[in-house]
Amino acid sequence: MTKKLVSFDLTADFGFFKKPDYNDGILLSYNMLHRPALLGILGSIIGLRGYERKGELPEYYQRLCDLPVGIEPLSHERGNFQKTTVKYTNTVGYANADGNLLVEEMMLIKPAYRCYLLLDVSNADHERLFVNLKEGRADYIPYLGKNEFQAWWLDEHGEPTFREHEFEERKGGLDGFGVSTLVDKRNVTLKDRIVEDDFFENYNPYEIVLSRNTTFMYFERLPVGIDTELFQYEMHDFAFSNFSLKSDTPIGSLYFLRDLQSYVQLS
Amino acid sequence: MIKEIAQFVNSLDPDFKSLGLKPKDGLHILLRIQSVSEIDVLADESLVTAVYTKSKSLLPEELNWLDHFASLAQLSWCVNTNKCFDLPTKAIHSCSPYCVAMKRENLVNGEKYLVNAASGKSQVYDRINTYLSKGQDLLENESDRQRVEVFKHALNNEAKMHAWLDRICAFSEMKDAEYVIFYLDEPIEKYQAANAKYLSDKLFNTSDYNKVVGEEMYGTSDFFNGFSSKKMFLVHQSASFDISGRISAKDAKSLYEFQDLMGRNIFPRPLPIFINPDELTESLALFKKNAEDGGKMSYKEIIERLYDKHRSELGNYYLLFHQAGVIKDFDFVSKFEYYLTGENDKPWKVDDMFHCNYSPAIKNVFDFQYIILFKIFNNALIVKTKKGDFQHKYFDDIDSAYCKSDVTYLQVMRYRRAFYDFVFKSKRGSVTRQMFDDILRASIIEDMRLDEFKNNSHSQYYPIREKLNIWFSLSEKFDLKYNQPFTMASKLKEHRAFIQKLTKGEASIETDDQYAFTVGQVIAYLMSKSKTGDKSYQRLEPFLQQVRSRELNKAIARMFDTYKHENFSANFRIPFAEVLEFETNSVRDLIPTILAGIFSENALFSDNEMAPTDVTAEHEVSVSE
Repeated sequence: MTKKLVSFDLTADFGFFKKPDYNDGILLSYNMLHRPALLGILGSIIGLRGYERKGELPEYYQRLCDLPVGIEPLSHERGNFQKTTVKYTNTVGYANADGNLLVEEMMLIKPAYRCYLLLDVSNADHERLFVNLKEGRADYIPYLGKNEFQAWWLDEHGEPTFREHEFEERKGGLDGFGVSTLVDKRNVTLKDRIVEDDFFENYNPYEIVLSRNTTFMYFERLPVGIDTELFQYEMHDFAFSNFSLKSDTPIGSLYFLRDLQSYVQLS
Repeated sequence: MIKEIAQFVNSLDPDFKSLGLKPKDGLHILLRIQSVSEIDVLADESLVTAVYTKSKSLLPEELNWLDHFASLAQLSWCVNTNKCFDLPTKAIHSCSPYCVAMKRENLVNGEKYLVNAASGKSQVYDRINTYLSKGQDLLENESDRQRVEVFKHALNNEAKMHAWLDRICAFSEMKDAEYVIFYLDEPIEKYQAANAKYLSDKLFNTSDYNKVVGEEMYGTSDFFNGFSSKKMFLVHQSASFDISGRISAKDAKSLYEFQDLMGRNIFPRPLPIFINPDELTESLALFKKNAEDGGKMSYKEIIERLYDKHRSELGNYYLLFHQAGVIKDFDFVSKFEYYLTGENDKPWKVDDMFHCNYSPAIKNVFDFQYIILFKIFNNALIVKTKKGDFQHKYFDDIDSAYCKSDVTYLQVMRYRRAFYDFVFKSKRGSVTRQMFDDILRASIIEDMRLDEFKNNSHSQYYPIREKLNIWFSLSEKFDLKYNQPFTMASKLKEHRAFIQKLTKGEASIETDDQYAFTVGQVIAYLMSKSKTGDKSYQRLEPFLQQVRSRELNKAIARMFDTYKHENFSANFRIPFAEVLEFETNSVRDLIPTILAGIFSENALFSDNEMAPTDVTAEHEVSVSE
C-alpha cells in the first residue's frame, strides 16, 4: 500500500498569514493556516525551491499542489487564536523614497495546527516528506507566515509529533462522527445536536482550558491554491466546528481515522 | 474581508443605502430645460429653486429639496479627486453630465480664483465645456447629449454662470470652502445610469491590471489599497505575482458604497456583520430604525436586543471596528457570550472585603466594561463624560496628560486590545490572570503613591479599597487553568482568622502568605504611631519596594526603632516578633497579601487603643478595630 495518512503538529510563538485584501491601515492575518502556506512549509521541509521569478509558480507549489491536506487548529478558543497588533516603523531612506513607512500588523499568538497529509510514498517528494517529518528534519527552516516566526513540529519533550494513522475512505453515512479538520463549507449542514467541547482531550501545548463547554461554528474564507488565470489566491469558504455533521451531508474527500474515531477532510 | 463586506452591502436595500445622506454644504441650484418653439433652452424661468444649506431659516419645501439634492449629489460625485473630469486642476468635484459642482473659492473673488488670475492660469469657467463634454461621453443616446449641450451653454463662461448666481441673494454670503452646485432637472434614473457608467472603470485603484474573466471585469481594489512604488517594503518582493489580487467590478462597487456608508456614521461601532440571514435582517432593521430616528444605537444595545431573542445561539458574525474612515479591526466571532457567570452559573460579583461600600454585581460583559474597566483603568479606557455617557478608547490615540498617571496610560495602551477581545468577541483567553493581577497591583501601588492626606482624609482611600475588592473578588475568573479550591477571597478570610489567633499566641507563622499578611498588619500598626502631619499612603512605598524578606524585616525594625518610645499593645508583640524571625525569598509575589494586611481591619490594636481615623472628604467612614 503506497498511501499513507500522516499528521504532525505545527506550533510557533507567533504567526502572520497576511490577507491580501488591502495594504493601507492595519494588515490582517488569516486565523487559520491555509493550504498554500502549508505547501510552502512542506516544501521547505524537503528542500524545494521557492520564489524564482515573476509569473512562474514556485517549485514547491508545482510539485506539491496535488497533495491532499487537512488542517485542524489546536489550542484555540472556538476556532480563534488570540491576536495582537504590532506597529513597525521603518525609517531607512533606501526603502522609503517618500518618508517613513509605518506598518501595523495583526499577529496570531501561539498558533498551533495539526496538519494531515495523504502521502503517496511511490512519489519521491512524498516519500521524502514522510521520512523528514518522521525524523523531525527540515532542509530549510519552516515558519508561520514570516521568517521570524519559526515553526516546530516537536512536542515539549523534543519528540516529533508525527503520527501515522490507519484510515478508510468514507463510504455512505457519517454515523454521527465529527470532522476534526476544517471543512469546505459548501454543502455542509449541521447535525442538530449539542456536543461537548473536546478541549481537554485535544493536544493542548499551551494548556488553555475554557471554563465552560460550548458548541460553536467557526467560518473563514481561506486560500486553497493559486488561480492561474488571475494569478492570485483561489478562495473557498471553510467551516470548523465541534458539531457533528448530518449523516447524509454530501461532503467529499472525507477519511475516517480509526485511532481518533473521527473524520478528516483532505483536499 | 472584502467578500464579507461586499456580501453585507449587497444585503442592504436601496432605502438603507440612502440613510444618513446629507447634502454638501453650500448653494444648490436646480435648472430645468424649457421648450420654446420646440427648442430646448435654459431661460430665466428655468431656475427651479436655489437652496443654501447654511441659511438660518430654511422653509419646509426647501428642506424637502435638500433630500433630493443629497441624492443627486451622491450620484454625481467623483470617486476621488484623482478620478475627476477636471484634471489636473481638480476644481470640479462632480462627475456627471447633469451636475457641475465646485467650491466657491474657484469663482470670482474666491481665493483660488485670485491666485489663478495672478498666475495666469485658467479659471474654472473656461473648463466647463471640457468637463461637460466628458460627461456627455457617459450618455447612451443623442437626445440626452443634446439636452446636456443646452446645460453646457447655460454655464460655460463667467458671465453666463454669474447670470444665475447673481439672482440668488445667498451667493453673496457664501464662504470659500462651500460648494456651488448646479443640477439639471432630469429624472434620477438618468443620473443613476450616468453614474453607473462613470463608476464602471473608476472603482478600481488603477486600470493597469484590469482583466476580463468570463463576462466580468476584474481589477485592483481601491478599498484601503495603494501601489506605492516609493516604499520598497510594500512591494511584494518574493511572490510570483505583481499584485496581491484582483476583485470583481461588482465587489468594487459594493466596497465603494460601504466606504460611503461608513462615512455617514450610521453604523454602530464596532459593527457586527452577521452570517445568519435572520440575524442579519434583524440587525439591519435595528440599524435602520435607529438611523431614521436620528439616534445611534450602540453595539451594546444591538447585541442585547438580539441576545434577548437568540440567547446562546447568538454568534457567527464578523466584527468590524472602523474609526474616522479607517479599519482598526476585523475578526470573526463564533459565539457571543453575554453573561459572566462563575460556579453554579452565579453572576460575577465584587465582594466588599475591604469595607468601602463597594460591591457591584457584574452580570454581563457590558457591566464588566462600564464598572470594572472604568474603575481599574482610572477613567482612561472607558471614559465617563460630563453628560454621564461613556466613551471607549480601545483604538483611539490617548493623551497621557489626561490619564491619572503615566502608569495608567501605559497599562491602558498595553492591555486595551485584550479587553476589547474579551468584551466584544467573547475571547475569554485574551485576558489572563497574570495580566489582571499586573493591572491591579500597579494601579493600587500607583494610587498609594498619589495619595495625599489633607483635612484628615486620604484622597485615594476609596480608589484603593475598591480596587482591592475587585482584585480579590475577580482575579481567579481570568485563570483558565485554575482548578484549586483556594481563592484570594477565601485566603483573605483565613488570614484574618489567623491573625486573631496569632495575636493570642494560638498560632505561628508557617507560610509565606501568613508572613505577608502579618507584615501588612504590623506596618499599618506601626504607621499609626506616627505623629507626622503627612499620613499619606506614600509612606508605605519603601516597604513595597523590598525584594527580600530580610531587607523588609530590617525596614520594619527601623520603623519600630523610630517609634519605640510609644506604647504598644499586647496584640502587637507576638506578630511583630514572628515577622522579624521569618525568612522567605519571594517578597514581590506576596504584595497582594501584604496589601491585604495593610488595608484590612487591624487586629494588632488593643481594645482600648483606637486606630487612626481614616476618612475621606467624600464619605465619612471611620475605620477602627
